[in-house]
Amino acid sequence: MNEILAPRRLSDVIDLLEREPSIRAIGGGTTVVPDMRAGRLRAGRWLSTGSIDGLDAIRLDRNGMLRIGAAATFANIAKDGLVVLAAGLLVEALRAIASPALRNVATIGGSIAVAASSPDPATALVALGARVELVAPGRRRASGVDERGEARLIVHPIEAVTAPETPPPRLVTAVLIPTSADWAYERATVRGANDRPIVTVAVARDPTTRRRRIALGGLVGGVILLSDAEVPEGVGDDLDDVLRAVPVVDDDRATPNYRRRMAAVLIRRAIARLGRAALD
Amino acid sequence: MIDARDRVLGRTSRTADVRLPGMLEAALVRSAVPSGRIIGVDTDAALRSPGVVAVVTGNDVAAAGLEEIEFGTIIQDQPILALDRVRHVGEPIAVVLAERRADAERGAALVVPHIDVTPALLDMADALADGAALVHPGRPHNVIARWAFSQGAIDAARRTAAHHFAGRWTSPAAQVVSLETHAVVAHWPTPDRLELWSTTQSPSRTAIELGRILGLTADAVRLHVPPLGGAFGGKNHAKLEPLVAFASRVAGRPVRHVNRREDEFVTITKHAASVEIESGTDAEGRFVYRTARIVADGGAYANSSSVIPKASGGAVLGPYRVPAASVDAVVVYTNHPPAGSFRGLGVSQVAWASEQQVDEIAVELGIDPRELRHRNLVRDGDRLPNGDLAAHPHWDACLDAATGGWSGGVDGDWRTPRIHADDPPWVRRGRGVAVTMKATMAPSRTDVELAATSSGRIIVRTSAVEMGQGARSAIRILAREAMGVDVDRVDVVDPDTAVTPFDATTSSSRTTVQHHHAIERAARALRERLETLARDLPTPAVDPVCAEGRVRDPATGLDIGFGDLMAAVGTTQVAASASYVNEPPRDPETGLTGLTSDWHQGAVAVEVAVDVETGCVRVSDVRGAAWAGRVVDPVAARLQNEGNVVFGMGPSLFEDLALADGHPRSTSLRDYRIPAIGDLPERLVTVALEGEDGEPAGLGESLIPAVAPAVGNALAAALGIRLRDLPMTPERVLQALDDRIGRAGRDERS
Repeated sequence: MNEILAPRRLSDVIDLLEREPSIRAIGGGTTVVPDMRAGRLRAGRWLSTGSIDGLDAIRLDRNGMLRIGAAATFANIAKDGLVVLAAGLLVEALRAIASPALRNVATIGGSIAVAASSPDPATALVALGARVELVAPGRRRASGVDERGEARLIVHPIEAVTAPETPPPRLVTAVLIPTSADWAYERATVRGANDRPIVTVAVARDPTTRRRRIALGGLVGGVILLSDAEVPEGVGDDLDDVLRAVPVVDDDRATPNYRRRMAAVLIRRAIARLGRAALD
Repeated sequence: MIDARDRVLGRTSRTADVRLPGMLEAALVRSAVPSGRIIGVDTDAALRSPGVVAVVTGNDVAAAGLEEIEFGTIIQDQPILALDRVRHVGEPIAVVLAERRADAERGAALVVPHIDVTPALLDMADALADGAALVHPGRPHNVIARWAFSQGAIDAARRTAAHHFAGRWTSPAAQVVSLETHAVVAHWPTPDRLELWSTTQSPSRTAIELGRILGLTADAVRLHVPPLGGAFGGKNHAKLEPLVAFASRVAGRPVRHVNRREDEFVTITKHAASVEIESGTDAEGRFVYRTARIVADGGAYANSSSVIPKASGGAVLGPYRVPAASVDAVVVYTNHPPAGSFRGLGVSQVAWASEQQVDEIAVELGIDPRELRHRNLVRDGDRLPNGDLAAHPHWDACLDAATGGWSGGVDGDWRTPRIHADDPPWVRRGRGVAVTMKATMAPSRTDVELAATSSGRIIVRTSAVEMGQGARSAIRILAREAMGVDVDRVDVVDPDTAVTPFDATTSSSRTTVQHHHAIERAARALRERLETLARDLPTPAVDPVCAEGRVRDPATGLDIGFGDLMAAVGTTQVAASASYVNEPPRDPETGLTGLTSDWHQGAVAVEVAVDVETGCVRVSDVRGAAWAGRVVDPVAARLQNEGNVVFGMGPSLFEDLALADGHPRSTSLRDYRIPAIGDLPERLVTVALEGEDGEPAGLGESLIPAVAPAVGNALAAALGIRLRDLPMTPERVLQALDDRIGRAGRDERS
């Protein structure tokens, strides 16, 4: 039997996490419900993020970072003018995911917390250098997404691809995104629309350093972040030198070779788009 | 469509919505192995599970004396529940009945089948090999059915042909993916009467089959069919009805079972097939001979597989003049989930092969593929390569209609895509075309009853099933035409075998044609009855004529609506029935009966935009032409044609029910891809061609088989590559491109 708790205040959430470390959070339910139906998750007590006051807010914070509340849905984020202006890359990635019905309920916090099956949001966030805000018993902190395993968002360097350790009780409350107007996004799918991507590539240029951050999704369980230095000039037919050590996913949708090849193709295209955008 | 709004808003009442007092929910325990002997089924833990009322197993079937009973469309080989062995992954072993679905599923998880796993036959060639184990004892060489045909002297033709071509093409299993899954509700009002609600496409025959299986008299089974949420052949004939009906009898309470999506992938599939074709032409590309060998995977039970060899074999060599032809088509048992009807029955697999080879011949000989087809297509009086006389062939017209928009007529260049200025440099475009022929089931019977009521309405009683294809709309229009009343005064009753008369099946693109004839006949009889009534009026009509919804008699000046007429003579309802059987014609030359009453005809032309770096194929422009004879419902005809194209795109590009050790690797729509809205071509134009004789022809599947070969031919035109295996996934396209480039590289070096 499932029991869903719907706290209104964040302080109640922290209390709840302290009292009940095993409680699990549920956002839009787009991962939890199928997993439960398939028997991968058991019934139990759930902490609903949808009821928490202000957790779906989207605003600029004091540092000029875009702050998107964890309970904001993909659809609401993608149509928010502030996000469109400050993080168009995320908008493009979110609009590519699944169907409107799913985007209407799936939340950004949920997609981060469960490392959702679609790598689109994470790829975009990593390229943008986003940070994740968490609450946990006794603390509230922002984590750099570059930290190994943190919120399953990032893996770098490539050799360090591992599954994150069992997370402590915590709740993703927001993502903090540096604004970026210089970006490109590419994804490869089997079906033309409404399909989980085989590979995702997001490239964003840091407005201060002018360095590119190149994020690759779909090759491994998490997202791979490549630096400018790791992407050879005029990327060739494959990224063998860079990706050789990575155990690339092999499933019914694509072989590892095809994935590696698509990574190279999409990186090349994304970089070319980025270059064109700069010229524009 | 009449009920489109209700369907979209979810207001349409389905089988799964049926609730009966005391109804139990069923969950099935399915085999986890493709082949094995059942040692026992431990139900103790399940029976102790909260809410579980009963667990029905093969032992109950045996205890009821039904262990020898098997069902199937023509070949009966499927037990109500697995008895002593399982033959495919997903085969029902036990039915857990509980007050709530969740309780039933929890109970099902606690049932422990003890199975001695035996080697499984998972390959068609292995199944056909000498000495192979038999999936069903008594079925030699695992052959479910075979059809062979030959005409002319093949060996002599081989010697005289100027050019020879040969190839082998494959297509995988697939699933129809109806939005509504299979569902059955069964209950027994008395021990000898069974009432069901089911998602079947063939209520009349399923009710008869249930009566036979369960030892009931013909009128003791009442089967209702609420409107279906899609069927596409997958709900043809009995599937879960025997099992649910039996479970209800054992429990003594109504039982409902609704397939989960993952259950659909093991309930029924499309036949995977391997097709080999050898052809020879003269110097101008005219066929001298063609031979084909087809092997299709029927899975563990025959279901409707027995019709596949003739359906595939009759169509594999295309609508062409072929002086010497031979076909050997066989469908085999394996330990895969059973295969059955799938929209485009048995033809999609062979058109994929045949129509690509026709294109290869054209390219090889430097002839426009459209022109090559015109050179070979049958004309009136010609004989098809399956032996049938070509009656009313319209393939030339379909071919020209499909390509004519591009060429600005029948002679211009249709093959060169226009330049798309916004195409990135890695996109190549190409165009291809294919024609197809598909038989309709014949002979088959449709009975209808037309009733006129004193309120001035016409009621059509038919067992034709509305499944989203617009059957009710077409039937209303046909009744309007026959009786001369407004269409909104025509009611069509949902199938209910206690009320609606026999109809063989709602499939095979036959419903509009069959009802056209049957309703016309019934309407003639009904008009005569109404005219007879007019003679019973206080001032008897002398020579009454019923037309346009009224009865008129010039001699007496009578001019009365039929409703008023019936009220005047004190009658509330007058009914008339009629039957129509589409007999295949007898060949006057050979005396043989034809394969079908009507070869459905179509052509599809496709433009693709191919990403040469990723291998992604985007179908950007599709033009389809189907022979309709006469269009009864223009909107529904257009939707059928467009639906054909979109449905055909799935197996062309994405759909692959890959089976690993007998297990479907896709169990949800996340992994099993059907076309999404975003995959639709930017341009999709179809036309239903009409003739002058006013006779409708079936068009429900006329375009589907042409889609895959047309896409394949367009791909070849774009990149010079030929794929032999469906679907044409990006990775396969890229591999073919690599192979071609590698080959070209080798050629250059040599």
